[in-house]
Amino acid sequence: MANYNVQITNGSGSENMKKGTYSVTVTANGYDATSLSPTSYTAGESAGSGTFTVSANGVLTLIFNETGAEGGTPVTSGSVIMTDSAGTTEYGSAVTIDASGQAVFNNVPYGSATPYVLYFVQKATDDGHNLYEGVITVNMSSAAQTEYVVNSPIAAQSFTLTDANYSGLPIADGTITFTGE
Amino acid sequence: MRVRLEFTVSHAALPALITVRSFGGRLILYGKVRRRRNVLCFCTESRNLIVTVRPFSYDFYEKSYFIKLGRCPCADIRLHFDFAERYPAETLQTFYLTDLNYGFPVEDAELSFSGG
Repeated sequence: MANYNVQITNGSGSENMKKGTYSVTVTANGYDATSLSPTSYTAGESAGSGTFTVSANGVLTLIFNETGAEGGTPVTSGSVIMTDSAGTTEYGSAVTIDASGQAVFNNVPYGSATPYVLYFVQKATDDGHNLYEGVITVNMSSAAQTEYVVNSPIAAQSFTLTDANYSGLPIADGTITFTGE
Repeated sequence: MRVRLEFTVSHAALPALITVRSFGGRLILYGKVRRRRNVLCFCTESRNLIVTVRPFSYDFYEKSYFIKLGRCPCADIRLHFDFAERYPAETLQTFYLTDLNYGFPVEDAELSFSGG
């Protein structure tokens, strides 16, 4: 009979263990301990590894609007995805921003004593607003939490188009096409 | 062929399981070994036997003897299963813990293992 406690930091941890079959439990800030899978592990005569998953019960609602606070005019479409702190590695699938500016992330971890820090990147917004640039950081401290993200309205831009050879002569009819993000 | 098998097992390795097989792998007999000194008597048509003692504890490797009986009508075998050597060391086990729904690595957790 042997017992081992293995510290997991940023998703991994190691321990020297005797050969045998063990029952496994987890203690993880922000997670439901009963959701651990699998709950047994067999250590062999040589070095080995095991992969476990655990699930959480928090619900995070991100609201995208023009003020980044309650009451602002919401965007009407778009998408957002969970990422790492740098915003480069994406986790899970992108969540749609609905007509009221809301994107709901279910089963996210949270911690009342030590908030669980989550990161998101907005992938798209509607035609009338600018995308939030950068990583959205959320300190998830309760089971149901709402956070606001600003999407500023697009600003009107004025353009003039004149003849290059006759200074000041406006082009009677033309189209300027802008390509970019 | 009638066989009398007298064998001893290191006390630290008890209890254990003894199996007697033919060289072809056919099981002739098996039983739980609780005492250090033991005697088994059995009949077999096999001329070659593999006698194995596997301690229930994972601290020990199993040990086997390969025996050729020849053509005598009976055999008297005496064996000692020495389990002075335990497994040399624990082995390094690495664990990965990820979020079931999003697949990201769990930042801070403790996995507890009991059994063995």
